[in-house]
Amino acid sequence: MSRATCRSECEPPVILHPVRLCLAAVVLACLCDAVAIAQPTAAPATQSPTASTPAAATTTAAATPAAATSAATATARAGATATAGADSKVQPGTAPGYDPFLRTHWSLQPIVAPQVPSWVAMADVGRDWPRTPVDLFLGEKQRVAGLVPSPPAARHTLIRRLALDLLGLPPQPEDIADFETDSRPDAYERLVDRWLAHPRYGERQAQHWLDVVRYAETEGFEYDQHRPGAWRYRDYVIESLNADKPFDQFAREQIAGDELAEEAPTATATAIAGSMATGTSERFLGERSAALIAVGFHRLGPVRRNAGNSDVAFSRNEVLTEMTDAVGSVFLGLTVGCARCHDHKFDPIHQEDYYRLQAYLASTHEHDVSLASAEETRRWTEQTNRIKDEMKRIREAMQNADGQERERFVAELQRLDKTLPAPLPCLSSVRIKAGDPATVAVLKRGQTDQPLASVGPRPLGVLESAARHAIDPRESRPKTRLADWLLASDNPLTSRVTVNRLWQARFGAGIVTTANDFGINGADPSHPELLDYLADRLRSSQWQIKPLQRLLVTSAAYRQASQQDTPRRVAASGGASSGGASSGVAASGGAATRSTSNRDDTVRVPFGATATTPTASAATATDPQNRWLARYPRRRLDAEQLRDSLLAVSGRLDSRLGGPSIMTPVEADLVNLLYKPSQWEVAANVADHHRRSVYLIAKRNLRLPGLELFDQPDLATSCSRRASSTHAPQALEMLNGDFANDMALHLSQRIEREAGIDFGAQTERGFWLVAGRRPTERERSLCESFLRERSPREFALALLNLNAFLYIE
Amino acid sequence: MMPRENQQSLDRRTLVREARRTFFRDAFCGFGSLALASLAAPATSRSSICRSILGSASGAESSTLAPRPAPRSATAKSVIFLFMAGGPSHLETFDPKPLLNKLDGQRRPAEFGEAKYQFVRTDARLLGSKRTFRRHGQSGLEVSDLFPHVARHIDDIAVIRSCHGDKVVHSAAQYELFSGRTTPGFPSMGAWSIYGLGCESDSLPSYVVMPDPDGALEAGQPMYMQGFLPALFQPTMLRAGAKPVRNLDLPKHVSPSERAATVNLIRQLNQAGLPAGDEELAARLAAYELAFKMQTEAPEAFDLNRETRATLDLYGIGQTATDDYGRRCLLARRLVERGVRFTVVVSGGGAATTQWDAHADIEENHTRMARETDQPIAGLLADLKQRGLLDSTLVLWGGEFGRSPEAESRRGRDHHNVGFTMWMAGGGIRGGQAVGATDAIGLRAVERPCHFRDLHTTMLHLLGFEQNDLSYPHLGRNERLTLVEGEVIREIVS
Repeated sequence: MSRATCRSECEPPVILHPVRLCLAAVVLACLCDAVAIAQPTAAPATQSPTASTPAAATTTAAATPAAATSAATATARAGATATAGADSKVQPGTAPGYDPFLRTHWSLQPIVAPQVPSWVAMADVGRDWPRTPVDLFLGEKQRVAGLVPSPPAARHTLIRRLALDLLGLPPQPEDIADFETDSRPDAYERLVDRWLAHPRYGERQAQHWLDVVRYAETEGFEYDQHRPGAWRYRDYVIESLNADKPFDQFAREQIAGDELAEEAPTATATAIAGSMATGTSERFLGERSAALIAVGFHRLGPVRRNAGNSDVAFSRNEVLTEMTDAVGSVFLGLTVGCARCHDHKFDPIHQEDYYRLQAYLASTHEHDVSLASAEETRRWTEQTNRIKDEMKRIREAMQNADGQERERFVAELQRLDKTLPAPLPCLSSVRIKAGDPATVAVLKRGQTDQPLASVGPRPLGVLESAARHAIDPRESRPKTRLADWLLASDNPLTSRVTVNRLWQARFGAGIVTTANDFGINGADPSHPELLDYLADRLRSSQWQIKPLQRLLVTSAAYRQASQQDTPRRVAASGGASSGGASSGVAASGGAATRSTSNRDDTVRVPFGATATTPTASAATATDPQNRWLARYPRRRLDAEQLRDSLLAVSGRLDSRLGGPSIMTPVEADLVNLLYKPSQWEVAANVADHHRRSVYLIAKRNLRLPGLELFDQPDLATSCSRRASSTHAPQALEMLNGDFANDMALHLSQRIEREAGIDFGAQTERGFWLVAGRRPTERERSLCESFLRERSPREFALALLNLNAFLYIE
Repeated sequence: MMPRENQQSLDRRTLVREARRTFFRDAFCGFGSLALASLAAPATSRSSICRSILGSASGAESSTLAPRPAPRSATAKSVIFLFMAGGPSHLETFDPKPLLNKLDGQRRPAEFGEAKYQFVRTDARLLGSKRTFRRHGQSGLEVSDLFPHVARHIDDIAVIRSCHGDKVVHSAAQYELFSGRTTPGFPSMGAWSIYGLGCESDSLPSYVVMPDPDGALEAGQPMYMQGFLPALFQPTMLRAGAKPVRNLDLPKHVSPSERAATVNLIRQLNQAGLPAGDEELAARLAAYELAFKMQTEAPEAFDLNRETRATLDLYGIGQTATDDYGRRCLLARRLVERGVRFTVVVSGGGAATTQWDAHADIEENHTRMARETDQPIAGLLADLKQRGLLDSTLVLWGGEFGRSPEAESRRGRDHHNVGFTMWMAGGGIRGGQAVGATDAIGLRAVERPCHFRDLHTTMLHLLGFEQNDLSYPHLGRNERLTLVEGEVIREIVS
């Protein structure tokens, strides 16, 4: 019965087996075409962008790039196996060294600002192509791969892309018209600056961060309790991003906010309560309360609470494990959690390292900072205690009751439960428990009943410099020390991981496609020098995010066409291209403003069946995963972009900022799947149902099916990158779903209001609203003949089902 | 005889129709399947090899629901999980313990060791069972009088008397039962099955859950979900009543012919902008065709009126106690017939009393719950068998744990995770045998303990997978249903 639940077999030795390894390499080499189609990771493996990384470079024996990758992994495993062993090594102070080979893993190396490559003109792409240093790094790889970047996207395409990317909403037709007619050379840069300063910017960018930090407002499991005030964390993120709070401060507040707040002794809890109770100031929280909210980061994960005999040590360990893994994924981009039961199977992380990381958090406990007055609190406590005492009495009586008597007791308990007063307003935060040392026991096989030696906090050993020592477990601000280390100038991970997330948000895939795993088993960077360039810039520009965003979206790479949009010959003709544009893109080039040519201002007929029929370009054939970005990566709208866009184009979007989260109406049978259906309290104000998706409640046990179908993550663990699947239930949702049909009705009314009764004008307006462009002739005739016979509401529904609406070109 | 020319064009038509059918089926199954389908010979083994080598990146783009053969020989094609939510007692059902009856009212003898419970205290008294056990079938396996109908099929059933899990509370135990992990966020066995095998039907969902109309379970919907797998692999929750599938019905304001015109407009508009060789947009276009097909064809699958009276009677449909579960079991058979891969039929929901969660009164609760499910389950087994489906359909019965030998509230039993019973039938299971054993009072699995992971591994084995064949990269690890430490229960597989 006591079979070990040891996780020592977390990974099977599949790849280690030499025969399988060879076989795998051969199969891979033979199938590289097939693999390239079926597997996104195949491109880097077969085209070997990693040849210059230390990991691949040291493996010289391998015959093929594929074998090199596999062999490197195998060697890594062998190293890990060699260092695994007796429990004696977990004694503090006796940690052995790390495998020299693993030490050379690329992500653990110091960040050195790389030389920005110079531009070598290729084919018909000349000196005026690159706009920012980003393009120079990309161009170098494209040249090696024999690829030529695509011509600039049409202006209407570009503005829709930028709006959905930065603001998460499609542009207004008026914005598009303005931009298309803006002949100033820096029209685009002006647009970028305007939108970076827009309040919608924070709402959209927050979603990316909320995914990564596993943000949800409920605890999951059986009770799925709602954490009061959890939404304040979401507002904190939005406001921080809008204010361009430096990322180091942003990170520090989330890791150690309670300790930072301690350092501001003048503000008392009552003062915060006062400032927050006034409501108007809620969006402009003082630094201290912002820090207390931010550190709620540690409480965002699921928490198991249950009635009856609970195993306190086990539950506490579950919480600490969850917190530690989150820090590892979010900031370090390492799967530190793999080292909880044994040394990491791939990465140079010893089991002791894991517990030393956990020790930073060992004295931290959940804490709700009340925002109620003393009198309110007194009354609330009194009432709650009275009811709870009564419930306790009944439970005791129930021990010996059965049958109908028991049923009566159960009913009475349920009745009393409903009379419990609503929780008082509070901040969902944490605090250090006085007297709790920052130490944890290393647990044999991760089991709480098998504690080994106690350890205190210390940064990951493999990154330890000789000068740094383990931290005193009596340290009163252990999490500050953790933040210090994560943000230290010689920590190679945090800044790389952060810029990679930014890149992924703009280009669909990260430079490292495994955004939460920069370890041996993660993907190698496609553009390691570019990654370091960006990481270096982040740190040298005081960790400000917006300048980096600007650098990315003003690049030529970002502004190029997705191949579906633009036939090659348009690029060759060049139109009114301003040939003599200044060539200089300074290495510091983020602010490079140069002539935006008018070469693409005309609305072409991108989807015309009889006009130019684009064929898959060379880039599609040789780089199906688009790792070299010789074209803009088209993407489907994600779940929130889609819902928000539906609301926006139909004119129903309620644009209020911030505040408590909203529950919208959902089918009764879904609510009944909740253990406590009464938890789902639909917002009384119908306008609330049309708030942006970021303001809808993130409830672990009830996710909105409309969002879920479009790959909204499950809120259980950190989501580093969303899936994007295509399946029939999505079509059913968009055709038959209540929400889609409701929005179609509003859209049809809006079109009629704004375009009158002329079918041509209605078609025109409809296309401007949903696709951000004029309809083609064919589209126009199809729509007009439909409108002559069918209902405007069905016409509007059809518009909402257009690929031109569902995709970012 | 047809003129030659006509015959040719007919053949061509057939070909085109066939090509369209394949296209749509693949496209329904998602982006990427077209690419997979275009590969020569066994796509599955290639992609699984690729997955295991290159699995560190997001595998999202390679996801597909196209049907594909399992990498190894399989005896089962589909699975029906009869989920007895709340935890049915092994002591009252399939695991007779005469000694427990003798020790009724006494403290647990020390030699049996300790157990952690959710509610019962250390000074609780043992509770004997009031059920009578009889031997059944050629195998002579013992089944209690709670299951007179199921007992007749005992020769098809392999009873596993030594199940155990890691958690003694509902939510965590339910997560473990479904996903092998005690926390939410990991794919359920249903999601893993369709991730591995795809779907056979192009007009029905491939993974279906039929919750008990009595209400929710502790672990909630996340228990059934696909976790970090793409949304493609999510379950379809069937609702009670005439409209079981969400969004399958047209909105009230629109007629079918009107909607057909709308879908046609959508097709024309999207087709007009479809660049040659654009797989993703082609797949999306086809998803609309399939959605339309589902609307027209799926309702037939859900229509029990097409069954004979004799079949309805077999499941106990029309009798108050058995009507609901009988209908859902019959629906499960209809879905399996049409290629649905994984079906969960839940018994129990809402309060403890309407689950198998017999804290208060084991007799009252289990008599009622067994009466509601016994005949439907037996009917399902008989029906599958007479249609030749039992050989390829694995039927799994059980809950997230069993119940304590000690009494709670005098007549009830508490949760119990260290030794309890589940059973399997069909799909390559050798029936008429019991494997494993609990100790003499049914406290602890002592002989051949079988963890949930062993059940999962056995299930995968029957479906044609060794546990390492099926993995998905998540947060730096190639996650599996079984953590790779499950063992096939060899005794029960043929």
